[in-house]
Amino acid sequence: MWAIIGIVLKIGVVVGLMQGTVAYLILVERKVAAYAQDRIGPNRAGRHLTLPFGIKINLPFGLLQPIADGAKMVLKEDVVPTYVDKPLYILAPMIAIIAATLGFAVVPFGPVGPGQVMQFQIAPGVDIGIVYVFAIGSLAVYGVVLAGYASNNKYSFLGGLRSSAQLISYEVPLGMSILGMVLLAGSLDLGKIMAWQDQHVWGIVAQPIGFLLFLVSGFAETNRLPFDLPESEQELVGGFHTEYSAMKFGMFFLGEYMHVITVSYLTVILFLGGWDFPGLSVEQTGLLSAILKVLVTAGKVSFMIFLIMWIRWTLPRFRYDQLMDLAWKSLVPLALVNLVATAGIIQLIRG
Amino acid sequence: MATITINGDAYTLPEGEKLNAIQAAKLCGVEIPYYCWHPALSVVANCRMCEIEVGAKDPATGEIKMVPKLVPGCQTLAKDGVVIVTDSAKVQEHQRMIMEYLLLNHPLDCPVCDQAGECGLQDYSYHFGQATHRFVEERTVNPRKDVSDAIQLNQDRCIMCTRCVRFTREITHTGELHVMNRGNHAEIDVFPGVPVDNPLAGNVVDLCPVGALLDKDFLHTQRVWFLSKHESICTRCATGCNVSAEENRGSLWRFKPRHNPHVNDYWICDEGRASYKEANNPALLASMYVKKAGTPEPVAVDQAVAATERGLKDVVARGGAVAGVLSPFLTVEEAYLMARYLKSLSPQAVLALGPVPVSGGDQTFAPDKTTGRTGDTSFVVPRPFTIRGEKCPNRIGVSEVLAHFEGEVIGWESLLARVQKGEFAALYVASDALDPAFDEVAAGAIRPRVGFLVVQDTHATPLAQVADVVLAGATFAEKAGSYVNADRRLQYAEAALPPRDGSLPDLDLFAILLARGAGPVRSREVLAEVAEAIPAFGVARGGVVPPFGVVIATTPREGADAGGAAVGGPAVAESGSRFSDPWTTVWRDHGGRKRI
Amino acid sequence: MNANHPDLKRMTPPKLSLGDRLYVPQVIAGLAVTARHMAGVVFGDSAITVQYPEDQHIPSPNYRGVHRLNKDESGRVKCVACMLCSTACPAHCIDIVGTTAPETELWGDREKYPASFVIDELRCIFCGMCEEACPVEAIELTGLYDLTGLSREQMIFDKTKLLSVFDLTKDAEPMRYGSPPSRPTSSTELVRDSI
Repeated sequence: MWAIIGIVLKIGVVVGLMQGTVAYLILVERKVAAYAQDRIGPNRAGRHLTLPFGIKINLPFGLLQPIADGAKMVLKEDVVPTYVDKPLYILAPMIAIIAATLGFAVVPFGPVGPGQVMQFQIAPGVDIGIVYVFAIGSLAVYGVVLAGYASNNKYSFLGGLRSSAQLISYEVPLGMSILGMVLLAGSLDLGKIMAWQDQHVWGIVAQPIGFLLFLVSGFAETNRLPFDLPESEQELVGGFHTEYSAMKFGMFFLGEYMHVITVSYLTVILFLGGWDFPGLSVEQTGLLSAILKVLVTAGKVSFMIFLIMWIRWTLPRFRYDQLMDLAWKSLVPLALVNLVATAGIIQLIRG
Repeated sequence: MATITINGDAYTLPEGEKLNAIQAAKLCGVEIPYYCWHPALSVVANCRMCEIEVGAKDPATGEIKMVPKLVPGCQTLAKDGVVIVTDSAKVQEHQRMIMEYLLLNHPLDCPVCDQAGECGLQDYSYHFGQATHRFVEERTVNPRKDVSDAIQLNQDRCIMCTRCVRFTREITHTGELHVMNRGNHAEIDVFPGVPVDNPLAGNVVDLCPVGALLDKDFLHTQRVWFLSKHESICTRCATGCNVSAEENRGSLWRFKPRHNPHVNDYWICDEGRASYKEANNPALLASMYVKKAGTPEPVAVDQAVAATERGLKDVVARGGAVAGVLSPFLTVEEAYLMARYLKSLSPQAVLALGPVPVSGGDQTFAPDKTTGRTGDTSFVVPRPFTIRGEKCPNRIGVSEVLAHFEGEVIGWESLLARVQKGEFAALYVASDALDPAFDEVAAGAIRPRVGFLVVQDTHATPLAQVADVVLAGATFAEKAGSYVNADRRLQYAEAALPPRDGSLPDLDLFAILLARGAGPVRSREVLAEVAEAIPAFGVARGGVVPPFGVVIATTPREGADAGGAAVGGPAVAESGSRFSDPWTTVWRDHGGRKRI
Repeated sequence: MNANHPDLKRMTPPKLSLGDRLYVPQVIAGLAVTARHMAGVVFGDSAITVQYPEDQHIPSPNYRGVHRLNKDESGRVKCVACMLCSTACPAHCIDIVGTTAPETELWGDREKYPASFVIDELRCIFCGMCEEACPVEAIELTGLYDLTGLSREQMIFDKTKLLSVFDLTKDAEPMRYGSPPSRPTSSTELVRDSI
């Protein structure tokens, strides 16, 4: 009974935190974009603020911008064009956000495992952890495809088609890129993979090619530049979300950023040692160490998110044929070679 | 047959016409610039712009002997063996020099000058002049003055071509304008108390190749390149002068004469020139009216047409007689469709000619080769210009239509007498408010005797105010169609304006009543039908009217009217080209947009 | 143009080195560029942003903003109603009604002037053709860029308003190729004045 309440509580806290984080990620993204372009970015919302009791504050960096953005999303007119396939049209953004949220269930955002003061994971001890993440994450493609189809709009439909091809293609190298780490750790459980990295070396050292493949495929999976072909504004005027407005559009937005968070967590867990940091080890089970581990993880994730944004504002979009070439002619063969080599080396070392 | 050589190429000139070098070169597609020459005026050769190299070819030896000096083209007879050079360096240098001379004292006020856009100085300055100006002395400044109540003279723009002076002396024989003083002080002026107020005075404005003589009515209102020109016919008298109706933004701004040697030569009278204003009259009917419970109420076009049809059919069904009045302001096509409509309602319908307004007698200006002429008149073909006392454009055309349908032409007076006897249960009057006959007296006489009265008009005349149905028709500017002038010449007029809101062109009204099918009715198609149906109009076969119009056949029934012959002078080809000064051709495109 | 046309130039794509084809070194080089820019903004002051209401952007001297109608020394409108600007205007946003100048002391030397001069600033595309066409340097485009209004009617500038733009800008922007405005004025004030 208490376990269930605990889990529900965790779900609440995590989902709530995620939503809040996503809101601020949009601000961060806008700031990063501005800085990369020699601009300042949003800096007005929050200035000259008068709180109750006449307290005047001056928040820097446009810290209230997310609230303004969110309010805008909610208050805008929700246009449903007459020619859309209504049930699917409404369903699509829901799928996008649900899939993005569900994937987080097995992501450990702190130390997990027996003896820990608390399991920093919504569903701890799921053996197939990483497979679950991929399975759920792949459902997100339905959101995009259905949105494109239901919009009954050529551009949206093209965006949906591109998305299905892209996501399915990049599932393959994405899945294979982590197999090296799975082989090394001998488990699909994300907690155990982190523990292995703590005891040996970080995944990025053990599996540099795997890391690169995972990063690239992860970008593709999140539909972000340089792989944002499904929505490419210039060619497809927004692609699958052309016909969406107000909070339905906002849900796609939320889904995308939650995906970014999930991918960042996975990268950190699989290749950057998760909570691992000099001075922290899997044996420490105290509350302080747990908090430190959560913070370390969060710090690494923050860097990953920043990296993803940084790359977005650096690289131009791939051409569609280059995108498919990259997946099938470069990433998949490379992942196979990496997998075979890893397996061979492990076999050699273990004798 | 004369063969002349222009710039090294031999051309054959048509027989029968005595042409000068400018005219001959124009026929051959070569432009010789000129200012002072005008085909209707004697040659004075004082602008020197048309000077060219002239020589003669010896027919026996083929040897060419050139005149050592430049010779004015306007004075050079284009006879056999003449050699003309218009593009040599000598000629070009001369043209450039003349342009510089003419522009010495000319102010640079093209931005405020109404002539800009159709100005001889502007055009030739671009083509033959130079961009620089070497004159550094003070320019002669002459104040602007009025030569009449309607005409302003900006003397400092004048180039002393004396076209206006010759016009008043040679054409109107009134001689109001003179050249005063000499040399640099020469100016055009009138004697005190003798303004240029003859009935053709406005033509001096058209004659002026620059912006010196200006029409005060048009002064500073429009730029000429905004105006789109429509080939129209003046409806103010039975002469049917060819005019160019110039429109911008849904209003007419002026009438300019178009050359027609058989009708108006190069001129129009001042009364006709001012008649364009009627098309902009704010009092024009802006809606159709149907009388409901004793008061006329504005209704939509289709309701008014339906009310007309219902009313007339009721009358016919009850055995009442129907009469139609066809005003002499209607076009031939309108008269034909109206007659057909009323005859199709009831073959016994009586059709009558509307009142023919007459004001005074004909006033003819008959220039000859000598009176008032001072220069060389050997190229001039004098043609008379007549302002008719019959102030309607199409009495003969409508009469021909009526004669075809009725066998006779019933006049307004006799019809009015029959109306007053109560012979007719329904009366359909199609007119134009230019008819002064439909006054209170006529209304009082007609209304009590007629059960159902339809008035199709452009103004709320006293007769229209008591009518059961008022159909708002088109003014002369809003309708296309043909008119037959007093010399039985059929001429076609284009529409210059779109129909006003709430009105329909008369032709469309009749076409709807006749149920001729959807879509606008084309007057050319109707004219083609008229040409098939009525022998007198057979000359307009296929709805085609030549540029100078065509004389319709004389119907035996109306033998008295035998004015079929072309007026004055030797024959000019029926399809001959129109004369216009080269600078008066402004862009036809609306809004000054260039063609791309 | 056929495939063998002599004017056609055949281009061969540049050969990519191994580093180029591996993407990764080039991606890192690109990241370095953006990183430099980000550092410039965060730690330096390379941001080009103008904090608008507090700081005013100073447009270049040939900036094409709100129109003005210039006045001559006697304070009369310089325009002579030649309508060349409305002829040149590709957006047909200028409407002029010309009339004969009165025979008074003030207007004696003038023949024609605009009784009404209206520019629809909403329809205008600010191409500057009117300024080019004007033979008397009467119409000019100023550096005023913050052109706002609360209704369409407010954005239709008549002669009075266009002349008041001249009064507003004549010090900052002297007629014809003057120095760039030192202290830009706001045309929003102008619109508000007329509400």
